[in-house]
Amino acid sequence: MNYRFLDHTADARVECTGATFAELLEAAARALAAVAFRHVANHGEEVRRVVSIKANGPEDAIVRWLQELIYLMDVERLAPVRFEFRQASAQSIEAVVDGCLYQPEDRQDEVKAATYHGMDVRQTETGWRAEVIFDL
Amino acid sequence: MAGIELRQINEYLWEIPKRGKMRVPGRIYADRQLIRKIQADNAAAQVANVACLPGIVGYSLAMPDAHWGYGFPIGGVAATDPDNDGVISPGGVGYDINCGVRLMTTGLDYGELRARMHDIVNGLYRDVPCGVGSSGAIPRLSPKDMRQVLTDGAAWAVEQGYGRPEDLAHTEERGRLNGADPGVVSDRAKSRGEDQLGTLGSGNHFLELGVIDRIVDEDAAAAFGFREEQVTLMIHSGSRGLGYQVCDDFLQVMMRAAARYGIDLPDRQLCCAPVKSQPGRDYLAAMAAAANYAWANRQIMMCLARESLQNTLGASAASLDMRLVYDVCHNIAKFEMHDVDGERRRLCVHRKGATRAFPGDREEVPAAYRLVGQPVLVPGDMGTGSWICAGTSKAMRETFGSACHGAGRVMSRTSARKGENAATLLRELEEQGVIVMARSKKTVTEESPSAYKDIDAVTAVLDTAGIARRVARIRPVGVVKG
Repeated sequence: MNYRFLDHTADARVECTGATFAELLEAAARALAAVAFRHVANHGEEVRRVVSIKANGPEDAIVRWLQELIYLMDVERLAPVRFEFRQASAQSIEAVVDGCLYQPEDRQDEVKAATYHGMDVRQTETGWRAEVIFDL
Repeated sequence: MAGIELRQINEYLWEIPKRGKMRVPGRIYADRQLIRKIQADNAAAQVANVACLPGIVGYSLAMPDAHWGYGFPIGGVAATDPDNDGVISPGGVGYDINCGVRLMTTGLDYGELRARMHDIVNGLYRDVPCGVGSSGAIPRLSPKDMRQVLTDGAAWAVEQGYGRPEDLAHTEERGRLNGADPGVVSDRAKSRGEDQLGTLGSGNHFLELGVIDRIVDEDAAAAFGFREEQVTLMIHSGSRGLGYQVCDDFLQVMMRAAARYGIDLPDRQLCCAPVKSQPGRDYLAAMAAAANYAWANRQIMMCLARESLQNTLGASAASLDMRLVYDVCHNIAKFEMHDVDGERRRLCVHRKGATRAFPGDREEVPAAYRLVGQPVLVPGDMGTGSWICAGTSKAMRETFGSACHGAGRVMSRTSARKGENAATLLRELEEQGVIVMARSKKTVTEESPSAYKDIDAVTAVLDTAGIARRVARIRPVGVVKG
């Protein structure tokens, strides 16, 4: 499971990989956290949330998953740290997200949204690969 | 579409001939240097894609600061005709619905403030919430307040004591788009916005103290209330998390709608529905609500900034004499009357990273600017400055009364960060007379002047093309960034 940042004029473009679809989702979530936070915020009150999503394919699943995390970051001040997937497919995701409540100084970039633009999700010899652009 | 063919019309205008699924040609306002950047960025290909939208009228347009965006290029303008299956596309508005700029003048000259700039900028940084994760200076909105903000926009803010009724006359749409329906704004969007009213945000949003540096149109400058060395304040911000969520919510709706209405699109992020369809009407009602939130936001921040300056300077409101010149939106879709082939038609004009630029004889323009045209605020980067221009009749004829919104990026955030050191940049800016306070060093380097197009070049194209007339240049002296 891995992620790396690619070039983009205005926003953050990331390549994520994983041996399974669940690992791909976790890579994308960690990439989002790397954009949104200066460091892994691990000092606040611990929080657990369960995320349930229905989707229409792998691209939709990734965007919906990331959008759910963006919502939790924005509204519940959750910095996601650990992920346990009960279900992870292109049609359905159920995940337990553990994290902590962050302080404003923990934040780095404001992420408006995970976009569909330039999305490229595919199965590879070693698992899954996706490119995602975050609108900053 | 690879390898977009461009045909030069004149020194500032290029055409993309109608090809393939394009319903109209594309037109890009740019000089020779800017057009190369626009092509390299793939923004030209996006102009061609937008030309495929059902009901599009005239041309798919791009302004001189155009760069790659989601579906629509940033700096894109497209008008559709609702009576001819014209569509509304959330990508033609953007995630930050009614991101916009407002400009205020003061009764102060720079010479009076120069020695106190550090205190002044520190005060603004403290008093106007900025940065990601910050809460507003006003209490969390109750559901009832939220509904009123979404319906009444800047007028709600004035009723709460933020500013004066005359501010509304100098705000596009008087700070309130009709047709807003809080009922079609999701609970999720409202949750994201309830604690963010009165906050600047982050990224390229800013609050900037400036000085009128150069006046090139004396009559318009007099109408706008400008004089040389006058201190100004500019605020750039939008609808915050509420707007971003509305856009995301409706991209989902529109992707399904585009399929249902059989709309074939070269790019999924151009997803759309007919203006006259239920999804189209719902989006427009939600967009208007988010736009109203943004106007309330800028109205409140203007008042927070005004109070901050009064406190720091020990000045009364009368002696500070802060006046709103104008507030423009640059991510919006609006219904406007335009002449098309000799016929007056009501069009849905998308402006994404583009600003309305109406001449004085349009009823939408405030009475004070009847003789000179609507102020067109074109902020540049924090190192160089901004131009204030005026709308023209030529803009009405050629660009649906539109001009550019700012300098536009040329360099990725990654490249900008690599090329700059925040501390060095801040020192260099201070040596040039610009004090910058930012929550994030990363933002400072990402927003460095080298990452942006040249505002002088961009506005020179507007001026030469006759779509917005330069009035005055403002140089920055104090900048607050989130």
